[in-house]
Amino acid sequence: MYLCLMYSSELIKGTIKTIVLSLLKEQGQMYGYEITQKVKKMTSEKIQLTEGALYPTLHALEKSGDLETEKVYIGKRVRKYYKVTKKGTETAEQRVGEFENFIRTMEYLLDLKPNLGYV
Amino acid sequence: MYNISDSQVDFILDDIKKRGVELEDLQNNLLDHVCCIIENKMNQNHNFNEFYENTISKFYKTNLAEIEEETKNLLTFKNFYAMKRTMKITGIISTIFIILGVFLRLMHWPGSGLLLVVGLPLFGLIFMPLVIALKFKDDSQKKEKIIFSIGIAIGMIGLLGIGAKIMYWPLQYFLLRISFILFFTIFIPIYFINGFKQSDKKFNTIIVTLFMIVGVGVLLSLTTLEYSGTVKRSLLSINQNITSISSNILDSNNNFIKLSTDSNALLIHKSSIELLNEIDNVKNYLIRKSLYISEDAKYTNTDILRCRENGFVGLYYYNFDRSLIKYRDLQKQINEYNSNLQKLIEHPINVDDILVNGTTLAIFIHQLTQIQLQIAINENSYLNYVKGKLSK
Repeated sequence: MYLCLMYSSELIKGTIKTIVLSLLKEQGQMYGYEITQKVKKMTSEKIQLTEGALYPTLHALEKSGDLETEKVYIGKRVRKYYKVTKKGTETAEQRVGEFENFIRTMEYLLDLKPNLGYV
Repeated sequence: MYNISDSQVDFILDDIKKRGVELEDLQNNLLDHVCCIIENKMNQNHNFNEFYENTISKFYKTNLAEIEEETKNLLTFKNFYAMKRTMKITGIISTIFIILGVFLRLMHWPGSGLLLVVGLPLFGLIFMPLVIALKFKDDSQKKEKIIFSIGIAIGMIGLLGIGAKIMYWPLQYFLLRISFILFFTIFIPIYFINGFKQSDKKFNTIIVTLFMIVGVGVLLSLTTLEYSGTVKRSLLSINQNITSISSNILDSNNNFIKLSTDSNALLIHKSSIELLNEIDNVKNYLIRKSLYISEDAKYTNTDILRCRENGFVGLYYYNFDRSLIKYRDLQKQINEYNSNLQKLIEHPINVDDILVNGTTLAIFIHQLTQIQLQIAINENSYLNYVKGKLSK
């Protein structure tokens, strides 16, 4: 619903936590705008996180203890940097693993890569 | 890179607040995000206001506050989406089950029991609580949340009562009465007073309260209906007829037995009296238990019709298993009567013919009265046989 452009929202829905956690795990600390830009660049604009999807997710991950934050003042405004916690690292690994598994299943299910053993 | 001024930052923050974003953290995040976009994408040719308006409008579908809504949902409920999905699914399934169940029940077709037993708890115990949890998530609505929770809790008791009534389960009248009493003495006053105090809700509250009183009142009269006058009179008349036939026969039996010396006749008489007394005891016990009257208080035949609880599940309810034990003892005694008088009576009493489940207590007691008639007839026919022998 909130993820649009190239990939259909139905397809990407539910992966946003995985994307954010794993990105922050790799990149260290980032702020909201930076995350959207990074994802956009890495996926050649195929995946664009919208603000409406990103911030609720960031807040939820912070509350659940997967992310921690640091506030930095930029002139009159406050910038919140997000960073994965130890728990967040584990969640990220677990979610990526789950997603990997999912993709393999889908590949087999949709016959994208015929399983030679069964030919 | 565009250099954003302090007054522009203030303007944006103000606008974000005006658009209904209340969480400070979220305000700051959105502010920084907009500023970043402006700094990176806007150039000197752009008009600030236009560019800002254009940017912020890409953040949402209908309004900016939806981001806050989404954030709150995710913050309040770890499994918000699962809860919402469960709510939708249980809502749809329970509604279908209840409507179908009621329809089948009206048509007296099978299957309604299962549908209602699944549908009513699904509706009352899962769907309604989820509605409350998801509908009133703000602290500002705490009072409403409590009031509606009370309402739902009372509604659940009522639903259980209606379910029990439909299924002929015990406690039905108890549950229904409790829920009606709580509804009128607790929920309605609290709901009314709370709404009436708020000037903007005053009129609405009056209307809704009236609707609820009328609606629940109608439900009350429907669910606690007694037998109709016609049915009552008919049952009473059948009962009286049988009782008077019985007592006539017993009278003539007694008159004859005083003169008789036939050992078999005396045996039958003794067994009959014992069994008749035992049946009277059981009847008495059940009636008193179901009408909540004491050992020495008197009751009439009309009172017996008030024993509406259904079948033996009902007996269980009145005195747990003692009613059933009493009935089993009675069955044993009837079997003894049959075997003792095997060769002397033409028609042994068939215990299996007695309808125990799925009937009302009044009808069950009526069946016991019919058995008493049968006992009197059995004795009478043997005595007539003896009389016939004597006259030869």
